[in-house]
Amino acid sequence: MQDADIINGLTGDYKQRAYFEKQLYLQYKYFIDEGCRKYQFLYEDSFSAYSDAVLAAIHNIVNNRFDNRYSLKTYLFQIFHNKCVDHLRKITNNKQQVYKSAATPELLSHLPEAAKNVIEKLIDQEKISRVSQYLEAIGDKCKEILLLSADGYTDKQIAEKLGYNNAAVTKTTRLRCREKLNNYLLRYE
Amino acid sequence: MNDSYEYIEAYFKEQLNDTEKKRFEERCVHDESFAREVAFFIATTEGIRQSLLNEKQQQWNSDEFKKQSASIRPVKKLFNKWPYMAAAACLLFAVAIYFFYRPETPHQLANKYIMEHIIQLSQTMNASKDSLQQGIAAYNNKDYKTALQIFGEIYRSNPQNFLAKKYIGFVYLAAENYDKALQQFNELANTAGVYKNPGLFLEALTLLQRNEQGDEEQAKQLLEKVVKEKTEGSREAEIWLKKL
Repeated sequence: MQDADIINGLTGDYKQRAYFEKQLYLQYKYFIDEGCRKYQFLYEDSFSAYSDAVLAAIHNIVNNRFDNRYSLKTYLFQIFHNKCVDHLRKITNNKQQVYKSAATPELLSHLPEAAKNVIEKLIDQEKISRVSQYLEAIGDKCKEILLLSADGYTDKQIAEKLGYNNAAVTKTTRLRCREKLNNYLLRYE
Repeated sequence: MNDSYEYIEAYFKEQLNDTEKKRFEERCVHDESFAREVAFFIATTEGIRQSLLNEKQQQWNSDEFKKQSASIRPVKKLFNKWPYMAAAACLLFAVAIYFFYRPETPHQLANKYIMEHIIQLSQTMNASKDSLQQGIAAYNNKDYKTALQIFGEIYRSNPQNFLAKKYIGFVYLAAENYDKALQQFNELANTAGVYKNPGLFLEALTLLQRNEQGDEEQAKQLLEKVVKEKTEGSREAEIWLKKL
């Protein structure tokens, strides 16, 4: 499938999105082997970096942040390469037992350097790892709405998907769900 | 909580204006309590993203996806088989020489492109669940009547589905109904909002394949437009123009 088909598919009708996500994943799946060869990764590690890269690429495309000066292959490979380097750092740091490191949260890259340095120090990695546990606790509906929102679906699309009256209702529900999750995390503090 | 949450979310969704954005970034540096809220927002969002990634990984690592591992290139093995590669290179060289002395006609160029890129479309395993996939399956089986019916229904139910529109054109092209193929690709080319719109290139391709009087000249003009506008197919268009 050509780049334009995948990009139009991902940004067009959201009901078709899952199909084009699958196409994008399959089209460059051979990167996983390249990760194993180039970085001496286990298949699971290379798969993890590749799937993370595909998800990041999808979100950038859906949010119109895809830089169309590059081909989809070049763009995806660049993200994949960065994820592999992140993973290598993580392995190295863990071996040296400097600290238990984790990948840098994606949102940090939106901030300018000065703000980024301040915020990065305040981020609690333990909290990040606890989110999945608390997502189970806030109920299936809340979990679903938060995951769809994180997946780049708009409030209007979520309303259509989950049968809410309109985008405003979805937004209110989404904020309540997020607050519920936050309360669990703050309780842990 | 919600006001602050919405404000932080608006920043990361790039919904703030430049002044608000600057103010937000300054607060991150100088207001510790606000910086903690932002850090909490980022940590929670990242946690949700990682849960989403776990779900996608489970889906992408499922047996159905693994069956399609044929797409993975056996890179290492290729390097261990250099004698075969050398033989293949010699063969390619011979083929290149052959083609060098026998330049392709525009019609042959178009025909070759159609055979390589259009006559068989890529398909996923769960063809039964997806109507577009069912259409592609029918198309690949040369059941053009069924394919046309399926793609037509998809397009009628959602005129934003440009891929269905393109596939309708492919069906007509494969069935050698060039006039209707041209009509579909022309409509596609005139549709606004399609990323790297392939309509013009496909129109030119159809004209070269039809090969009637005046078609080549018209195709040439369209290909020049494709190169100029850098739409889908511009790389092929550039090569073809040198041969026309």
